[in-house]
Amino acid sequence: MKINRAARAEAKTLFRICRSEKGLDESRLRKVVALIAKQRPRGYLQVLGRLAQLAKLEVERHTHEVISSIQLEDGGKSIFAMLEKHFGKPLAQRTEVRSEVLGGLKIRVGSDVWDATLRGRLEALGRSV
Amino acid sequence: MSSGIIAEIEAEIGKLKSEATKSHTGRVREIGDGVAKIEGLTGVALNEMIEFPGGVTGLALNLEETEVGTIIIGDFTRIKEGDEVKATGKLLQVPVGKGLLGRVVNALGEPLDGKGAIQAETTYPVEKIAPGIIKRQSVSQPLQTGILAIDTMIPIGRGQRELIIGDRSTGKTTVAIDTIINQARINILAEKLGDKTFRPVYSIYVAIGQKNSSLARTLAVLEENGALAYTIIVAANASDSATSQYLAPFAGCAMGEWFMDHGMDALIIFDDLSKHAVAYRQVSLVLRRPSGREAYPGDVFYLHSRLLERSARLSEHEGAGSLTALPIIETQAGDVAAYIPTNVISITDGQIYLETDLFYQGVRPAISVGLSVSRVGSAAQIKAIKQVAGKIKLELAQFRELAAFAQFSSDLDAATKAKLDRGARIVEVFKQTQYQPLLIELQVAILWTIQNGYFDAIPVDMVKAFQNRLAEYLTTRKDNILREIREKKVMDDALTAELKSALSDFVANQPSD
Repeated sequence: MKINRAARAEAKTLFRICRSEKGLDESRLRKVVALIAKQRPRGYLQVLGRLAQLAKLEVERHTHEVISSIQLEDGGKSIFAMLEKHFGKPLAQRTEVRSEVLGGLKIRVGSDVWDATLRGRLEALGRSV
Repeated sequence: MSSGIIAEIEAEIGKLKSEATKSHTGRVREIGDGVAKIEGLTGVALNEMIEFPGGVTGLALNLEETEVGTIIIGDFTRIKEGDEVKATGKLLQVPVGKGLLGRVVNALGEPLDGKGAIQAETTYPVEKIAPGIIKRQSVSQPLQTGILAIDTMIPIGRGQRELIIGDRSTGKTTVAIDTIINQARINILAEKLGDKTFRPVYSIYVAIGQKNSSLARTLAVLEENGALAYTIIVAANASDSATSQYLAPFAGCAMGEWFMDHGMDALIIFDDLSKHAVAYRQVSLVLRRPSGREAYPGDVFYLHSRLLERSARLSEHEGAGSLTALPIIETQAGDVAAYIPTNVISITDGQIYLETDLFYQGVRPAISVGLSVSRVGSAAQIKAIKQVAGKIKLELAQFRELAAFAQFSSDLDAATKAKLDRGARIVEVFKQTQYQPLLIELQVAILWTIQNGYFDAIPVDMVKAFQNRLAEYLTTRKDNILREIREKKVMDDALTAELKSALSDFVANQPSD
């Protein structure tokens, strides 16, 4: 869907309203979406589309993800607790098991990735040789 | 197994440093036309290199609210939507140094000539802030093109930016190639003479959007004339992506800056900036940047000004290196008032305008004296040239004006006729075969000969033959005079007397026909 400039600006304003000091206020966002869907202002589909994009990016930015080669013993709870201590409360938490990382952990917070996997080290070694 | 050994192994493992590498990542949301839109990559810098899977590199050009617009350098067909990319934290860099001389490289400094890996001294960022006013000094040393008409009337100094402008097939590239060949000849001569004070000029030829066949021809000419050893060729040809064509001049400029920063002199040719502007327009339109006049983006002026501003002559404190730029612009049907030509004319320190009409009249190089100008070069001319060429431009301008009026009248007064005769001979003398630049001492001698009326008795159609015989005579039999001109750089009384005597001998021994 092509989103025009007016819809982008409108969505940005609404998205700002949905944010509090602590971050994205999900209940406020739900209310805004419900109101738009009810009132159906001009270009409301584009506004909602852009709002969804902004919300998705906000969630991505505040998602803590742990990737390991095997299932973590406590489901990653201890790691998530440490991440929360450092980076604040996330909007989402994810664990993923990927056998191709071979060993170690890969932690993602937003677009920052800390790679301490065996595969990552092997790749780095391969690049340096 | 005893618990002791396990504890020991665990202790050893504990001692091992577990190094986690931190990286900024993003995901490809959209890919097409050599441009990728990436989500994530928070904190990425403008012009930062982005690493795509499979070793493909991108350059972050558009930092938007929710995504990063990246141009792909290389094969973008392997990149898929959803691919994870990494910010490298590095700006785009190219190899620089003397190891590149004699090589043909692409916009990333990778070899294209099959002569093996580049032995680069270091790398330089492609985008760099131009030297500031404190670091500079005014242009004061000449950069001789070997083209009589240019060195006489539109002199170029080291560190100057002189535009070569004209329609298609008017000899723009030839002027540039002649200049490169002349630098190589001067370098070789100085090396032969063992001149310790001599400052060689290294050349960088940036080919943008050219046909591969044209570049192959240029390469062959440089090789034939022994100029390739002093030249770096940066090629982003018509078959290369718009991204490569956009980056090539900046990469070439970085290579030239290395010479300048190390106290050496370099010459860079951008062939041509019209195609560069077109490539940048394509990149900008695909990045959805707002377009302006002729669909060029609003910052097309800044694109060329920041590129050409990097040409400079550095102060003695900074090593006194220089980077001289000869950008080329191709006009359409002689329209110098179009968008890109006017931009580049206003940025540069003068222009050499080549006219189609003159070219087809056989006046080659087809330099239009009226429209060509050098704003700073006269300060860099050697005194000998100033002494002999002071009035030439005026005489030629008067000739052009009078020649137009003379068409309507057959009866002319003696003064007008003399001016017309002198002008016609000057035009003949200024005609020059391509790839045969003249050394400055020979130029001085020829101009002195014109100024002193030795050409006046020669029929116009015989002028060129007379000039060639004179050049041969001076080079083979009177090279001591040429050497004196080269060393003294001024026409004093003794030198004038010697030249007069040599010319008398030469004229006396001319064939009677």
